[in-house]
Amino acid sequence: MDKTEVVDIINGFLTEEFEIEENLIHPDATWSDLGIDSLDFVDIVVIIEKEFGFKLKGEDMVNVRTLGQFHDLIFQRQLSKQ
Amino acid sequence: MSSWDGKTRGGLTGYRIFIFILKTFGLRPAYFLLNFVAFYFFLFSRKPNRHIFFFYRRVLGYGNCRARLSVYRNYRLLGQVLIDKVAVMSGLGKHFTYNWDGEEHLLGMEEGGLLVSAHIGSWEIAGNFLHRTGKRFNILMYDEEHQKIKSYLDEVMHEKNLHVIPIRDDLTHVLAIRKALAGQELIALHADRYIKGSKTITCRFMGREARFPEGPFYLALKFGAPVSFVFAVKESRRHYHFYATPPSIYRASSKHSIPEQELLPAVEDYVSRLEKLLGQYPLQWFNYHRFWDDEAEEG
Repeated sequence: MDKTEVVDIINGFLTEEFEIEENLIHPDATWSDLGIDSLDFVDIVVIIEKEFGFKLKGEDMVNVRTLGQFHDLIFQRQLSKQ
Repeated sequence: MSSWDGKTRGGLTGYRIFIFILKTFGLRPAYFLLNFVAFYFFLFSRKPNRHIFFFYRRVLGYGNCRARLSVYRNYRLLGQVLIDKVAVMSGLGKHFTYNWDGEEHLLGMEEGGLLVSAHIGSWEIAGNFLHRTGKRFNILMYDEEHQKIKSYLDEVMHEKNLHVIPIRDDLTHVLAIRKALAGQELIALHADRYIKGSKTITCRFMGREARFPEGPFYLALKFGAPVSFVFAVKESRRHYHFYATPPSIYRASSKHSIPEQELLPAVEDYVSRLEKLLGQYPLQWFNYHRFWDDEAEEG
């Protein structure tokens, strides 16, 4: 899976499951910009596990502040899984 | 219920003062001094007074004098509970006796789960003894509160199998919860306070509408974690009664986001347990902020 596919999957569930408007979804957006709170993040954790087949770890998220960084993280984890 | 700012009154200094009094003079003098401290709060803590008075006067329907006396007794009991907590954490637990109502339910939670509690009695007392289950035990608390008492917790809890999961803006606590549950650990958390901006669910509580945080119940349903409602109340000067309900698993039918009506059964079970306990121990309700939706109109 290349980076574009990873980005499309993540952005796809943000628009479909969380009904976030597409114009808000850009790499510099923070969770707060997207209106994602901790309960939404519970859903995201479960979706990531289902879509990508690995579990996110707390230490993974320490330096993640924006959606772009989240894309990078998932892509890197996806690569290391392979 | 109004939102809470995530900070508990007092902090490390308070703990240290309690420890000093306890270690120097013992439990009885600490209790004696507490009468004056409680009276000070009774006279000068206007906002908490108003809220706790509302509970006794309007919610429980006490007469004016009985309600005011109950406010004072409530402060005194809170102080005693805090002193007891510090005493137990400092290794003076042998001075207290306990009876366990439902400990077997916790021992049976082999796959881990959530221990949902409230600001009634002292679940810290219960928490301090949960290592009897032999399981790794986590407490979920707001980061600001955690930072204030972290060094103290580290100091007194180093031998206990107890860990704090701080609730942080970067949402890493969600992953820590997930990891803990996957590791079949226990997580203790309160479900009777929320901070501003949190999602809440409205439920009838003691005959009036009140809001409760969705978070604890959402986690339970989303992760399919067993839930036990856990409380420890003070029954006499040196005796605590520990309650734990049989664990329940609440199922969500939806694939992703869980609608409010699916959370309700869990919230109602919690509220029902809370009501029963408050009926037995009304002086141990330690929530000093606006709790019921109609409080502002009447209080």
